[in-house]
Amino acid sequence: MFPTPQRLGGYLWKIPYKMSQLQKARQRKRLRAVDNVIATVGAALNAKNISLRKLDYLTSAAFPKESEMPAKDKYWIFSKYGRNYRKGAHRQPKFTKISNRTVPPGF
Amino acid sequence: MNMWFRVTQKRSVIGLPKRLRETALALGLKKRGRITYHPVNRENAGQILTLKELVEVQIVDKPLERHQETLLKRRPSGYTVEKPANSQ
Repeated sequence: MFPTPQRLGGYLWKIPYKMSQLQKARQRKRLRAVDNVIATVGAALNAKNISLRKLDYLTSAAFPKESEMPAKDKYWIFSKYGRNYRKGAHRQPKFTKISNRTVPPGF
Repeated sequence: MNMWFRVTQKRSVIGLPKRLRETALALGLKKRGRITYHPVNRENAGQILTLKELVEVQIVDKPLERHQETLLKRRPSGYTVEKPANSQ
């Protein structure tokens, strides 16, 4: 029986360094879903004239909308060890359930 | 005007930090597909924004009971009863 690439003992990365086209499409869909939640909650609070610090942060430049983000930030996040200080957004644990939209200034 | 958040849990809280799991529980979200209603106020808005990656939110005028939600989801039967058979 031919051994699998993993069994051969090679240096095999099982998580690709970049996201596939379909992963990126689903990533955009999730970003938009979060944008919708923020917009809906924001509209409700505005109608009732309630202010909320968390909402201010989520509507500020520190938390851009999917449509305002460059592709570089949608699919790549800051990493101090990564090439060009970036690593694929799918490399972070639970990446489908967290928001990580901006990188430190200067990167 | 009455405003309610209609919150649907879309993603599971399995493997997430305790704080998020407890926030979900505070909103009555125990598993995917659960729908809960909460009045629009600062506290509820903050909790929903904490769970923004996991839920879907709509604004509605009044909350529905859980059995009413079930009726909304039910497939139409395909026929309507015009009159009972023993109505002679």
